[in-house]
Amino acid sequence: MIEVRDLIKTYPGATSPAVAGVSFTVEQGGFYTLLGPSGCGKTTTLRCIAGLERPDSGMIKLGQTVVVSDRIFIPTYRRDIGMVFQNYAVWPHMTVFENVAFPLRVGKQKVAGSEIDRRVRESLALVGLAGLEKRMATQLSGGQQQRLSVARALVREPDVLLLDEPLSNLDAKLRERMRSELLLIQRRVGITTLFVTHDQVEALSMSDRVAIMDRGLIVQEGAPRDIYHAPANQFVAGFIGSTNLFAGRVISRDAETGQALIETAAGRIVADAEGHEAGADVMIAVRPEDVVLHRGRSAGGPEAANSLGGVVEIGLFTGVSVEYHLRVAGQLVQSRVSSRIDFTRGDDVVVELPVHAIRVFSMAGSEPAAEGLAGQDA
Amino acid sequence: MRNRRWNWLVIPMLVGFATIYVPAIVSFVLISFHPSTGPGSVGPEWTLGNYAKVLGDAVYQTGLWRSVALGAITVAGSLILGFPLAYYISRYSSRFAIAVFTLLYVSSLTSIVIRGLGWITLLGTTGPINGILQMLGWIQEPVIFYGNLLGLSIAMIHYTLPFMVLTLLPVMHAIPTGLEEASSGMGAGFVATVRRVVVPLAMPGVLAGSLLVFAMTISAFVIPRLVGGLTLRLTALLIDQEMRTTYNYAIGSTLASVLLLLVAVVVVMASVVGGRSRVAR
Repeated sequence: MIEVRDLIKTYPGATSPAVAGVSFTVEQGGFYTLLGPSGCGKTTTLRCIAGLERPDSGMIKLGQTVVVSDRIFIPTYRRDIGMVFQNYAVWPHMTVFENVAFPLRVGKQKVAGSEIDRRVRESLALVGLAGLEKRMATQLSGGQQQRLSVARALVREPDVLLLDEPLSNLDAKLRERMRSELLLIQRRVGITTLFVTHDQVEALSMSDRVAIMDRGLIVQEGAPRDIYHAPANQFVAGFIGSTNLFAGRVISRDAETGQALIETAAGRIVADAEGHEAGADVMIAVRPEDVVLHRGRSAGGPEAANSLGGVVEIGLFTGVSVEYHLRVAGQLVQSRVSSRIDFTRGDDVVVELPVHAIRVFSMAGSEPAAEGLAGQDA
Repeated sequence: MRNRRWNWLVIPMLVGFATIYVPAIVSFVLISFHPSTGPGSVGPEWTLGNYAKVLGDAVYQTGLWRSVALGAITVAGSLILGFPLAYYISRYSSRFAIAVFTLLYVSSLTSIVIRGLGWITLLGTTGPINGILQMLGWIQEPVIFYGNLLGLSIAMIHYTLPFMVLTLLPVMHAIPTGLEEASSGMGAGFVATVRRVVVPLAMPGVLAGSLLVFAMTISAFVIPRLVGGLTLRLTALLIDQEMRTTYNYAIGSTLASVLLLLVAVVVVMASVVGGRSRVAR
């Protein structure tokens, strides 16, 4: 288990804190991801947990041990952690075997030679590097070096595994394969894992829980599905996946159903707008894959709410899908549809925005929305 | 290889070497195989007599051993002081680290004569170092530093330290700090990290610095002459004496050739050790 409370870290000379009060808990055996753009504080948070940075204040607990508090700072080498770095950080002057044996050799309890041998081989077998013990670490390929660093991080059987962008240096194909392999290893070992990445696909596909970070704060935390389908604010909606954003103003709201009529540059849109009163400036978000396209012209009229008339500007065929850019009145809308659907530039289409797929944020959307953090600070 | 077209840039240096340096070395090596026929001249016949004399004579033997001992002590001393210093400077870009580096660098620009004379004053029987040691009650009688290897080693370590640090620094800088972070992340304390990660990876720099310091020390003349005095006869001083006082060019050249051979042997030994450590990378 990892528990972080009110973590604050400001680097010397910086005007704003890199981590500005972060709290979260990783359940025993869980796979938890800190996701955010560079400079959001995710790596600093991980380095504080590892002990490579000393936080200004806050509490960090690994397993049952408090490693950081007002009075405690346990140095990195005495924390029960395994770490994997972005640039592998395997030791170039050692063989594969010696790299993995290192944590057992330097540890406090002496491990017998035969025991070292057994555990190193076990660890290397786990990551699929059995038989390469005698190679020099630098003779391995990038993917193999990263496996080596995973084996090295796990050989001590630590309480927690800290992964700092471990896949970013690999090429696209390998990164995809390592994603599932890494997750499989984590599941097999059952180790509590904290993963730091800027890659949303990694975060969404591997994690039990994801925390989105922005400017030193967690702006939303939840299961990957919830984060994707119910982004708490405009930042999350924009950061995770691609999103159509429309600025608008609430014209009227039905207090019973919670549905509101919103005036936008693309036309009038009906959406669930809980908490947004008439007259409020809002931002509405729709994912391109939720935008439905029909051939033909919009019928118009009130019954055709959320069915807007548009013109195809361009279509980008990717094989799996086609991404159409549509001009809807004064607004550009993106739609991702099956690649069997074929429109050409200039075609008239009806652009349908399903009510259930629309998220409404207040205009000051880059601030953490109150509802998104409710229950999390408690 | 890729930049072969720039190879011509080294031509001026090679020309200088080929026309001045190499003939000079060849001529004194050749002279060492001819017998002395009086002050300033050698005979035409070939002989190994000079080597027999140099290697058999107690004065020359002592000189050689002292030179080698001084070289070894100086290498050890500058390494013990220089390694932590270079590591510190390479890892902490604080103002203090920069000040330390600047101080070291500036001191290496000071005239070697001034530094030699400075050490004579500092290490004298009534000098500040003896004064402090006596004040602390660590010694009763003043320690004699002048005219022996003790004082000379101190002065030579001071002289060579900047060269050691400047050789180690780029190697230390080239070691990614991530490798040390990985080490502490895998449970190694500071000492274990330095011993198992930093030292092995800094080995090329250690070898290069040691070679440089050793070669500088056994051929050093000014500081040994000033701090070692006339009684501590090192090979470099003996060469000067043969060449400029007794005009025995044959013996002077022989001593110089032996010194040259000594450095060559150390270089070869070091590259064998270095080659082995490179294989292990």
